[in-house]
Amino acid sequence: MEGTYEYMWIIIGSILLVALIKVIYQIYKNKVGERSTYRPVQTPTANSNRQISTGIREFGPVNYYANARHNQKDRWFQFMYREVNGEWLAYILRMPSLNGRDGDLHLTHRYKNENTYWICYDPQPRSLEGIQSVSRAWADRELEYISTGVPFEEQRW
Amino acid sequence: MREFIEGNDNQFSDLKRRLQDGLLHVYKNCELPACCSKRSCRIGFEMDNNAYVMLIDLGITCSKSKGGISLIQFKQLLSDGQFIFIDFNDLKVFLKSLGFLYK
Repeated sequence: MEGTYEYMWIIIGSILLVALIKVIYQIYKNKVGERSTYRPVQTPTANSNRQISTGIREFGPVNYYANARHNQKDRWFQFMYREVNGEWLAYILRMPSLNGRDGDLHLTHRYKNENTYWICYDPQPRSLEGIQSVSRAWADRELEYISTGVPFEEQRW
Repeated sequence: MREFIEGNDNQFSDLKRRLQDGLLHVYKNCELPACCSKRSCRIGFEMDNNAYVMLIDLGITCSKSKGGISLIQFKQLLSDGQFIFIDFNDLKVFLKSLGFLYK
């Protein structure tokens, strides 16, 4: 009889232990698992890498609505920031149409390599924060140039 | 998502304040517009490298075909699962611009 009771307590103890482990696992899953299944960075495509840890550092695509001083409807700029040889570059993925303005690279402060454009700024920033500021300022001036035709250097901000 | 599109200034200020902790803030059961392949989803926000990131569950599609730039941006958000803004105010402008999806 005593042996039966002992056996019963072992079974009850095992059930309680399994239940406790399951509860702890559920709490852990709710806190940590949700985030790990949520992030899209596990499926890298040309446009979906926020940050890569393979030596090349990049961030984006990042969106910015330029300051519209002339009620322009389209003020959407999109950049991909990439660190190249210690300098951060802002690749222009999207910008409003030039609407017939001269797209000369010097006038619009851009570099070009085949179909890729990036912001021309000297010296190129050495931090991500720096390139964020530069791209913001560049976009504001680019939109102003598109609207008025006034070159960057002659604009008043 | 409707909850954010219809958010007022105080609610956006509150969201911005919450994001200063650097953590991902996830909101469940957010109502999606009727043009979407799902009725609800999770939406998340976080601050990353001084930029504001909006995240959404992957695998959602939108059948709407007319909507200009705002629709292009919305579809990009759905396909990439995220949309990043340098300024918090731009995130707010973006969300507000999606009101047409519910009309």
